Amino acid sequence: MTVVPLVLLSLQKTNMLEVKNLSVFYGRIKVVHSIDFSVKKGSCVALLGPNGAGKTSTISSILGTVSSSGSIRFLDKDISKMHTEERVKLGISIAPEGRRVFSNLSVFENLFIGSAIREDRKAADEEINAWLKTFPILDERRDQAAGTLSGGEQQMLTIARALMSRPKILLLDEPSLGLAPRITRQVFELIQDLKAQGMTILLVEQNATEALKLADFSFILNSGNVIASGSSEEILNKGDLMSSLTGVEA
Amino acid sequence: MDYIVQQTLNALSFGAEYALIALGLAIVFSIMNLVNFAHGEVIAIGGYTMMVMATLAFKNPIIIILGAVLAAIIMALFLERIAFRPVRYADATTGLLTAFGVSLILQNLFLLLVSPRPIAVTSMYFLDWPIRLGPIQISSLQIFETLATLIAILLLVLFLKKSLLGIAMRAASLDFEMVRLMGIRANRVIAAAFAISGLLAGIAAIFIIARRGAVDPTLGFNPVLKAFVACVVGGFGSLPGAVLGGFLLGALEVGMLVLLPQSYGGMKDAFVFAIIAIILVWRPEGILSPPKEKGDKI
Ligand SMILES: Nc1ncnc2c1ncn2[C@@H]1O[C@H](COP(=O)(O)OP(=O)(O)OP(=O)(O)O)[C@@H](O)[C@H]1O
Ligand SMILES: [Mg+2]
Repeated sequence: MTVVPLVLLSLQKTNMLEVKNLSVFYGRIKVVHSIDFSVKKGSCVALLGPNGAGKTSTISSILGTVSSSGSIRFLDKDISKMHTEERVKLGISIAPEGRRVFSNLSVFENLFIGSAIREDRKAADEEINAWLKTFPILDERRDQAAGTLSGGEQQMLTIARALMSRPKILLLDEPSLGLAPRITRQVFELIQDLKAQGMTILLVEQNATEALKLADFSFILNSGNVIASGSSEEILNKGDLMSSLTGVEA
Repeated sequence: MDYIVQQTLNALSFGAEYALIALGLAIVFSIMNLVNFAHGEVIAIGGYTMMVMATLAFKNPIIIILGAVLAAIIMALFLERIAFRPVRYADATTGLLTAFGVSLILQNLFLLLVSPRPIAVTSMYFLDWPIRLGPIQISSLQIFETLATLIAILLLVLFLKKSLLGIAMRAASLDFEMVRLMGIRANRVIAAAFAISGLLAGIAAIFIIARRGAVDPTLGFNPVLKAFVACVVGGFGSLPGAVLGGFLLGALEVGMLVLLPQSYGGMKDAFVFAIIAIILVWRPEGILSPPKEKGDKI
């Protein structure tokens, strides 16, 4: 009675996020079909797949901005019925697809609003300054509307904004979308740094080559189903990778 | 000279009233895409509260003012909770119809429960006395109204720029979901918008009552129609637009009164609306229409 549950518990503990039997709906249309996946504490998991595969839908269901069924456990708590705001307070944060900086707010205000749930105001303010130091271009534009930033600058701001809440897991939805190769590299370097600091990351990408370099484990989604999963080597060794990424059946 | 100063003050105080009410409409619209026509009844509640407090022998006008403003804020929050929250995620037409329905129901309630006729409320007359500046005589009420509006706008700007909730409200006008993804509760942001609109309605009620000295069921409805026009001219959902539209409408109304010959006096509104129509042909979205995009989706 005592030993087995303890073992189970300690096994579970390593999974920060555990998704089972997840389906996502838009109205009556089901776009993700009963998928399972999990993210271990401190790891980087990539969710890959072609356009329309259901990556954004999946990631959105974790924060509850789309309707879904199935179980979503975060830190051993079922969060699938919680409000979005509560899930954020538990330690989930997102840098969403299309970046969605608040273009009418200044760069500083974007970072400030990112720290909305924090009580330690002083530490948060110092962190804002640290981010501004890390990205001098953001510091230069500190009081300018974030809408005037370039795509790459907006992406950095979005990631920094997401981190301002001190999340336990960071969801990144296509951070390299629409960026020049040099900027893309910068973004992936930033993600690499975060990973090195122990951040747990769920990364959605179409740029599979870069994502596989970072990821400890990957899932490939197609038409709302997981069609492959494994470590980066395993995925790379699967010859049908390219075909599944382009949506063509092998 | 006397005449010019007086008409300028007229224009400013009319404009201030419209701007106050238009701001209340705009702040709710910017966040919820809801044209809150029941805003007029929030103003009316302020008026009726003054009436009730005066009959209950409250003497201190400051207490009556506080009571009226508080009642308006509570009314605005109450309407959000029972009428607008259930249709929060419905389309804009549903919200608009709900607001019209609430407005009509409340006007009829005032009519049934209080009286269809105006009831005298004289508690705010103390705000109005003649001020002599050399050869010119002006009304203190107009000064108070203009000043109160300017102070309210200033405080609102400070709130929107400096406080977390204010910043969240500005952010929510662009991308509400993203604000929730920052962990800020949607209910808090929306309640704040309604509380501010109620506060502004309460202030407007004080000056409307001070000028008219009576309350009736349509006390707020007609000013809200004017404020709606001010919002449209200024750019619906834009707060600076609401203020600009309010003062512009006040200036146009007084300007027409001054410029039109006496015999055309009854056609003042027709001329005002003709000018507004021309402005809207020039800028269909209003003079300062707010940005529409939700972040940069590629
Ligand atoms: N708001 C919506 N309403 C209806 N259907 C939607 C909505 N959003 C997405 N879909 C559909 O759900 C499916 C999955 O979309 P999703 O955005 O999750 O894909 P994705 O893998 O993120 O694609 P991309 O790489 O293009 O971002 C698609 O078929 C899409 O058309
Ligand atoms: Mg997507």
